[in-house]
Amino acid sequence: MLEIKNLHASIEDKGILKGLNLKVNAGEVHAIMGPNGSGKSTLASVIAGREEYKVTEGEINYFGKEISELSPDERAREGIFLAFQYPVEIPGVSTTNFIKTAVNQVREHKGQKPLDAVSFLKVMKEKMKLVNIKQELLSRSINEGFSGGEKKRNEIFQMAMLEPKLSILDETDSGLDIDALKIVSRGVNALRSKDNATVVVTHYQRLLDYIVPDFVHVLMEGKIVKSGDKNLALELEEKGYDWIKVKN
Amino acid sequence: MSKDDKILKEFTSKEYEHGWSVDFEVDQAPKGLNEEIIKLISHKKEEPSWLLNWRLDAYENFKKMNEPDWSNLKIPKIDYQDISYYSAPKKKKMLNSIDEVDPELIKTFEKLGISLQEQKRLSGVAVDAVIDSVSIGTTFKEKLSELGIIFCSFSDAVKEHPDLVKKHLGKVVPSNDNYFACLNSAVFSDGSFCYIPKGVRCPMELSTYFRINASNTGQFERTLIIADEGSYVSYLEGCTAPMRDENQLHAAVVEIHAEKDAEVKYSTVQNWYPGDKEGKGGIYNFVTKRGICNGNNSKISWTQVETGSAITWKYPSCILKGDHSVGEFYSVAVTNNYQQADTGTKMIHIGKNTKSKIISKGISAGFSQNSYRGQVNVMKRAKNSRNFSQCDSLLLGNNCGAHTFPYIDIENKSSMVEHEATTSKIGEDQIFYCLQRGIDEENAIALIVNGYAKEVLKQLPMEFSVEAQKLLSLTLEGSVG
Amino acid sequence: MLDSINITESLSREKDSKLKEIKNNIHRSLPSVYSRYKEEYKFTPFFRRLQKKFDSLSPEPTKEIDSKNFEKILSTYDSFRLVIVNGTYVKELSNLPKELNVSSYNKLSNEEKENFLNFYTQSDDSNNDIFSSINLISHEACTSLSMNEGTIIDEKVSIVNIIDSALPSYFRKCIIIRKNAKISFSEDFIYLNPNKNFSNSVTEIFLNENSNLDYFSVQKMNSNFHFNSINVVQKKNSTSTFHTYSFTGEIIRNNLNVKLLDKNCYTNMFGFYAVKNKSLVDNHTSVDHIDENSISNEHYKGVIGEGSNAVFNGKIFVRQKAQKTNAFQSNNNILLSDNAKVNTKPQLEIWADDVKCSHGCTVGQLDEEALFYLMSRGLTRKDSISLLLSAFSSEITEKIEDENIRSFYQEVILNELEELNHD
Repeated sequence: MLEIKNLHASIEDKGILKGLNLKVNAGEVHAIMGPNGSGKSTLASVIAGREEYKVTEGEINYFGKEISELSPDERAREGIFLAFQYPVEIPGVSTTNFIKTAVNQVREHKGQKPLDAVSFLKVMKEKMKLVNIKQELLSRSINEGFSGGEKKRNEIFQMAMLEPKLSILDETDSGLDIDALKIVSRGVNALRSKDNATVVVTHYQRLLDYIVPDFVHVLMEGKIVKSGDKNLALELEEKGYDWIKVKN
Repeated sequence: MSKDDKILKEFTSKEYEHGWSVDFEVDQAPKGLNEEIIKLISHKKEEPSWLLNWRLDAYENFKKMNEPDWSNLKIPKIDYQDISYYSAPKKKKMLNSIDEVDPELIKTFEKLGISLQEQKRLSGVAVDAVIDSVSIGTTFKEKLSELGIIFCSFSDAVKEHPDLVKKHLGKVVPSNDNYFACLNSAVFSDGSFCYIPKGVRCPMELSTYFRINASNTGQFERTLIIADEGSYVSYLEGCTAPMRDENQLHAAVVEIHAEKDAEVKYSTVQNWYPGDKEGKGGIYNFVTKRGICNGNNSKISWTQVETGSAITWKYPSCILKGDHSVGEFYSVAVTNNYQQADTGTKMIHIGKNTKSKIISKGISAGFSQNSYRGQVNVMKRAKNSRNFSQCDSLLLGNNCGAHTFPYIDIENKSSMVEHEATTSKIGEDQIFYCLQRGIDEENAIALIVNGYAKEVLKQLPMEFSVEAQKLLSLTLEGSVG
Repeated sequence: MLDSINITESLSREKDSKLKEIKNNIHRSLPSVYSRYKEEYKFTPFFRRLQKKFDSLSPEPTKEIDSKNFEKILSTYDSFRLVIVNGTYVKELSNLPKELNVSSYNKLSNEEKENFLNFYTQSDDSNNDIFSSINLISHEACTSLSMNEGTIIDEKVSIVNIIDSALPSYFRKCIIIRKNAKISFSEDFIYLNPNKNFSNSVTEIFLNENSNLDYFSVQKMNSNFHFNSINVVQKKNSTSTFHTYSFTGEIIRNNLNVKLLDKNCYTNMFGFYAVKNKSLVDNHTSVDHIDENSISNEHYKGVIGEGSNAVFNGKIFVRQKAQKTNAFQSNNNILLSDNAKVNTKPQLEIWADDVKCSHGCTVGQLDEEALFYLMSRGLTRKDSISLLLSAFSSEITEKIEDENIRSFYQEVILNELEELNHD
């Protein structure tokens, strides 16, 4: 589904990713771990197509198609979803209105008719249950005055609504207490299928207790320096990132 | 061309949707402004002599005045002699019902989405349609009259309710008030009149639709709303004009009287032709709107969505004379290309415990200049009065300007006034967030701008709110820089 | 109105040919400057009130002064001081740090004069404000102050302006602070003549790269008229901070105009007014952001007593090139009487899109709830009011970093507030 080859990316002429390789197949969950400043969030942003980041070398292939030239909204409509580390507030725009606009634009792209109000509401109600989110919250301005947990649940709710093929969760565990973490993870797990894939970007192993990855990669200084299964995450937790540095 | 430029270009080439004109026979006065023309207008309308004298008085005042120069507008020289001051669809005979109206006219209004036909009327909205200068039909007249509500053209009101008109005309906006109000007082040709009797809650929205159709004409309509004790009315006003190369003048006056415990809600969606993307053509919109809260506990609320006109000069105001009276002003003003807007409000607190609220959201794009100008004046005897003002500006692109000129004048110690203003642009992170969900840039901006203006839009009656949102999106799509 | 007061008498006394030309030019443009008076002085009837008192606004010709007369007043200024009497710098009475070069214009060498003229009138508002134009025409001896590159004066320098004349007095300074220099001034005006008088002061300040200026003004003008215009031009990475405290005066009008010419400039404007004894205090400020990345931060607060008026007009301009500007402005007023008035107009004019600008203003009274709370704890009403007013003012004085200077000005303000609260 996703194949990244020798990816170099920079922001304001500062190189962050320096030759990253990653291959994700449908049905898989990959965890990207690494210390602060290793380039984890950059990787998430580059895949989503954030314009401040420049791809200077390498390629990102998504279903066999190089996507570096696609705009963020085109990528989103092709099924790439980014759950933001810091979800953005948009005053005066309710989540309902926001997600309805998004869902219908994605549908239009797929040549489907826009959902009418009744069927939209029906779908929404169903997905709300997944992450235990209330109607009242969705009527408020998106992310404005939301607690940390509400913001992250809202992200997963949107993911559920958009039914992406590739989901990237950027530090979704940050700022969550254990209950919120369980709710969010339950949502993510419920959305897993053989046709989609998930990339979990995280600093801590904690999240991986709930969203169990098939593969774990360690990102340091812009490269993946080590890959393994879920046990690698546990080992990292125990020994710290210095362990890998020393080994290198 | 960068992506932003591309979107900007796409947007600026967007056509004005209401830019068509219809040919029907019109009765048009020769160009020029003089006593004879005023007499002609008055004669055509079979007016009583007091009204003619009132007009002539206003004209005398007008001659002594100069165009106001204090606004933040660059107004090209207007040749007041090069305008025709009266234009009306030619009447062939007295019409017995709306079915006899010129079919071209009916079509005109259908294009505007307004049907004058009985069976197709908007549910719950009574419409008075004013084309060029003349009211051509008022719907739901009978039903309203059962409640004692008078809703008719200004001309009919002069004939049928002369005492009411005489008592109220020019009492809130005197015929010597300002340059454009004087001009209007001298040459106004029609408009809407509305009287809500004591204790009556008007069961439907009353609406006036204005359209300038003929070329080389100005439109000078006059609206008078009287809400008697304990009554309520919600009044809507919409306007469009065809695309023409030359500029056309629109100088209207709206006067509102709210007596004790009465409430008037006046909403405007202004979509006059703004000119083309080079700033050619468009309507000059110089409007005087003012209401007086005469009685205690009365309330006047102005809501405006201003998207059109080449130049807008407009300050819907409230004189809060009655104790405990309330004035509100909610405004969204959008300018694009070479549009200029200088708009805001005046809240004059005279009575005790009076309250006012001002919410103004300015949005500038292209090469436009958008100014908020407002005054809050709390007089000495207006003890315990309150005002809150919030004036925000949003800039889209780096060739436009946003200006805020609030005057706050307070003369007693028990009143409280708060004014806040911010200027910002749409956050890149907000746009990226929308894009990442699959929403394209144009829709993202429309979404964010509508969110920004929501506090004002939600004041509009339902049908108008939807229209206004579409209009905002249409005016601004993709104009981010 | 302009014709009814003589303002050109002193013009004939100007001997310097270059200055004469400048003065004549501005004299010719007086009618056009005057056309702005109506809007600029909307709530401040300066001319009308001056007219009642004066037939002519021209000053006395410069005269010899007797230093002995001033010794008593100056004894309170024991640190560095710059003394200006009736507009003329008096070297013998001054005590200046060696890093600060001060001279009257006419005592400068020819070469110095030429250099000085590169700055003179380059930043002032004589094209915009009629009283500034009149100052330019009427002043007789501009004081030139300059600091060389990299010089730092830690101790505050007091500028003591003395009005010892029955006629209007004109003060004019041109302050040039070169690269990496740093100084702080405090300025007072002292009226010795018992008659109601008018003083008019214009200051031009040029802050070069990386320089730093603090400027304190305390305005206790009793029942005199005072016009004060400070005009600042800032270059890259420079910082200016103004503290203006105004209390009494038949009319005090302050113009504070700061132009942030380059990138990364920073200006602070803090003001407090406690207006009493039927005074009128009018603060007009403007900040002009011309280039990227500058910050302006303005906060004026005031309390207005019986029969007094306050006017505030703050303008912020952000030009098209001034991206990433941060501009904040706030004005808060408390009215203590139904015979007190405030007219405030915070004005924003923005032509750049990537900026953060906000302004806010409030007019209100003391919080009755808070008063009640304090009184319920045993404080008298008077003490409670004092406490609340001092809390209201402290937000402004807290901005002063130096602890000694801060407590000095806090004291000054508290005393003035105390007087406001005697009934």
